[in-house]
Amino acid sequence: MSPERGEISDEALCARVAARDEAAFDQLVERYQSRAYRLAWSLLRDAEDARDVSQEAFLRVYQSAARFRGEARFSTWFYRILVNLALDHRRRRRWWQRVVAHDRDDEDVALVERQPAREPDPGDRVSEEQTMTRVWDAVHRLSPQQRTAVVLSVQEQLSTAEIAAVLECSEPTVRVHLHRAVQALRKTLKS
Amino acid sequence: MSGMDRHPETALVPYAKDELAADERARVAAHLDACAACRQGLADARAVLEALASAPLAAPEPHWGRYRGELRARVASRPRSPRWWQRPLPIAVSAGLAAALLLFTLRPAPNDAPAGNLTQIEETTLGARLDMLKHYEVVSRLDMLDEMDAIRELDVVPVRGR
Repeated sequence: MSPERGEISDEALCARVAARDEAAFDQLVERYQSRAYRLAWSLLRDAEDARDVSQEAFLRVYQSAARFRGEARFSTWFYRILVNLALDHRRRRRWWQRVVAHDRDDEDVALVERQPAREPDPGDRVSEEQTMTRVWDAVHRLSPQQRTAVVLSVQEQLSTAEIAAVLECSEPTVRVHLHRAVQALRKTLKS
Repeated sequence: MSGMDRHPETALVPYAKDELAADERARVAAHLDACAACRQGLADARAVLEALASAPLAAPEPHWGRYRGELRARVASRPRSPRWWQRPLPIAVSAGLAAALLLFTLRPAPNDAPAGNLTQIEETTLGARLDMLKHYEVVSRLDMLDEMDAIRELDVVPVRGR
């Protein structure tokens, strides 16, 4: 986020947080809470998980603000923390689902994950809203890296280079993620 | 195909988002002029990106006041990082140094050995005669001397039958 004229930058606020300036922390939270929650929700699709993970990301910022060296933008550093937490949370949740669910339940979960988008009833005109619901459902079924790349690109308007910095991978790798995601989503959009 | 041998499939999204550097953008543009498949790929990429951007996911909004209240409570109850002297490594290093200092202080100096301590006298004597080790093979067979008495008296041992 580029600061308005006279507004203190995210990086400067982070430096103040490192010095345990509570007001600076509150200011950073206010600036990022909406985006943090929305991004976490887009990756997890669960309101409680999104709240928990985004709050945890702010807590990590509070605890490790001194380690932010300013080599990347604060937003990139923050997104990296948040995305790592969200992907880790999703991995653990899926693992836990596998552990606690009986075979039948597990099959149900897998079926929900795998099933193609709902087919419209014949003769019904599929509204644009329904189409987009199906496309976003398809986004949710992408691999974690592809999904994250798409959400960061489309929703957070990050460039390929910025996404690479968040995901800690190379720019060509992000290009491959986006290309494969587009190929998969194109089919849903055309269906 | 001019300027590019392979289809620049993975460059199509960055191209659509106008992110490519000028030289790469020119190469992709030249390829697109000659390749219908990649033009279709670019159209698909644009359609997907525009569709997603035009209909963003509507996340259910939390109550932000409650959200910040919960966050403040989490910050307040966070586990505090231990002071440097409470961390395992400094404790281990300090304990090691203290033990080494104690052993160094309490170790008996060689000159302090009491005169009557026979073990130490023997060790000192042996230590002074380490050149014996040059003849280790001989030394290691000294136990044969135990049999010398029997060897000396071999000629007086009565032979059976005599």
